[in-house]
Amino acid sequence: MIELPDDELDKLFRKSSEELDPTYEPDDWNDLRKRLDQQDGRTPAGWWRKWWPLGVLALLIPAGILLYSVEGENRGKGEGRKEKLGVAGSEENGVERNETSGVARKEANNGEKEEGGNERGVKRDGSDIVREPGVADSERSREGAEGTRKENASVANGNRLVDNGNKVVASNKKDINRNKLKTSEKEAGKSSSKSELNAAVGKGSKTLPRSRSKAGGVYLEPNRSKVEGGDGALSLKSDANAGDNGTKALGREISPPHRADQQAAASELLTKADEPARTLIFASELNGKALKWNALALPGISEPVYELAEPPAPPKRSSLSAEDQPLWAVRFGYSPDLSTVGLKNFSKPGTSVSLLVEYSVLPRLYLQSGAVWSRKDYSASAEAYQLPKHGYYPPLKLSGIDGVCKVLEIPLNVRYDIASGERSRWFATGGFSSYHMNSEKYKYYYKDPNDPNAEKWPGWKGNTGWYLFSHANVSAGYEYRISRKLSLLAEPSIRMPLKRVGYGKVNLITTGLWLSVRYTPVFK
Amino acid sequence: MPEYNSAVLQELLDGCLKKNRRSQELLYKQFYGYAMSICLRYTRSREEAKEILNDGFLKVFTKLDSFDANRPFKTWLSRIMINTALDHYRQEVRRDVFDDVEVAEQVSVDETVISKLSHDELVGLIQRLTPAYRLVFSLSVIDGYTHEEIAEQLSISVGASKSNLSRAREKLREMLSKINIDDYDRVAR
Repeated sequence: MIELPDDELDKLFRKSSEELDPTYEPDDWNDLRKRLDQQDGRTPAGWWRKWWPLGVLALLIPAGILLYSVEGENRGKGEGRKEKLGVAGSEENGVERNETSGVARKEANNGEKEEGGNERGVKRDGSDIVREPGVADSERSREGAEGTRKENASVANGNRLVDNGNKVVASNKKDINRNKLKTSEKEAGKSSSKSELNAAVGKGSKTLPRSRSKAGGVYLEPNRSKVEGGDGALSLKSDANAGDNGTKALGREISPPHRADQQAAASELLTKADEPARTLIFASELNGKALKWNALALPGISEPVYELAEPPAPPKRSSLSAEDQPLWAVRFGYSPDLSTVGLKNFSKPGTSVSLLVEYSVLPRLYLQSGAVWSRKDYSASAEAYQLPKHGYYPPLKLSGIDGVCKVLEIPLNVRYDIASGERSRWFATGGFSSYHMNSEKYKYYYKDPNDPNAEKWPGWKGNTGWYLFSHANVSAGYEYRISRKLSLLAEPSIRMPLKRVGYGKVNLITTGLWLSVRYTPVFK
Repeated sequence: MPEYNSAVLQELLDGCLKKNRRSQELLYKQFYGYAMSICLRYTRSREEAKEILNDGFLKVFTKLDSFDANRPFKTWLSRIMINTALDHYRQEVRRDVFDDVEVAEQVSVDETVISKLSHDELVGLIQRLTPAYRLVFSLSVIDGYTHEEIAEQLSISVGASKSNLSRAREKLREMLSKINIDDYDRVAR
């Protein structure tokens, strides 16, 4: 028994620590490998983390297109609704118009001259006036003349609305309200020609920037151009007041080239609207100068005038149909290539591109073939390989082999459309593939038990050619038609080995997600 | 290329840099014993040692680009393992630091019995020390850290480091003497 000094004790434990050689536990490496896989994104979750942008893109593109098309349809419906609204508004106006014009026609037919006719005439719009130039022949009261002026003002507004074309629908409601307001005022027998005319002119003759106005910054009301059937619309003869005043006013013609005069006339109208004697015009002067409103020729109207009463255009029919039966189609696709031996040890994804042709043999049934080029990266334990027995291999047990192969694949598949909609199709595909190993590179790993330093055999490079019907293909997918001939596809797939392939004779399993564009040039 | 980093090791390290799983596995296997022996003397169990070992190797694989190939890989690896163990110690067992234990009496040990003890058993004795003693003993005696370095690493005073080392030695002697007695009793029976 001795007392162990410090240095001896230290030496004892130092030596033990240095010479300690714990036995290797494979489970320890497996635990670490899982952590490394997670970190490098080689697990399914990691794979998703790495590739999710592509996946999301693949989902978003069809979703976006779908949304766009749905919105487009809704927009079409909305427009249809708006058109209907416009029609309704027109109809609403039309009711009034029909009533009044009907009365007016009756009046015209009967040759009756009623003051009430003038009142009702107020409700008419320009088109009625165009159709009934004879209205000017009837004797009219001052009120009637003012009413006619109002009518013209409202016609001016109406034309402006028409002139604005695109704004017709939007402002239709306002116009209806405005018409109602005017009508109620007129029905109440209130003659507020000045204010109304001012309002009309104020609204209709808003000053525009010169740069935007052909008339030098002043909006010219269409009906004020006499040459174009304009200002003369105000030159209606009022038998009542005209006789009283014995005055002819505003009988002058305003020609389009003299738009400044036209403007002056308009302003004069404004300033003198309260002087009936000066504003009244004998309609007889306009005999033979019936108002012919060519809306297209009116100043400021450059586009065709919409016929309000025109029935709405029938909804545009989609060119797509669920009944479309392609005769043949071409597909170009891309997929990440996840190749493995035994559905484990997934390494980094390779790349696959495909060019396939599909031919319809029966309704919904297609024969599919073409070419697929892919690069397959995989690694597996040595037991998974069946290497040729050559003398030059090291007399050591291989621990594993890494493979990088470029493969040309010729698939022969059958595709069946499970469900077909106007834009969507669900389908399943099955068949066989033949592999041509274009290029094979293998790295061998082995460990010499006598040499703690592991060594790596250089491996093997070459190609071993064709392996006919070496794999069975199964896939299912979704097709979205972006047009009649063009569609996008997303198709998860798996290729299961029927034969061992390559120099190492491995059972190679490949999974992937095909993202394809399909073009259908010919339909049945 | 330095002699201590062989061509094979360099090739393995290149593979690890490319995140080649096979290369990583081979490097892990090759240095498993060395790294595990370090981890064992800084922990109280093999499970704990394995946790530190894998944490350390994860750092090796992810920080390999910072390794200076002109220096011995083993030294870099041991440094990583020790630092990982210290991190683990700081996180997990700080509450046990500086447990004051009764200083053992001066004990005598039988050299013949000691010679029969395996490396595993001797390292097992280190594992039975309290964390504070274990770390100071391992850092100072086996890994050659000075008391100043230990004090800095463990955030203690130099005096505390020296005291813990002294107490660790006494504790080990006590455990060795107990083994002697047990062994004597076993032989006597």
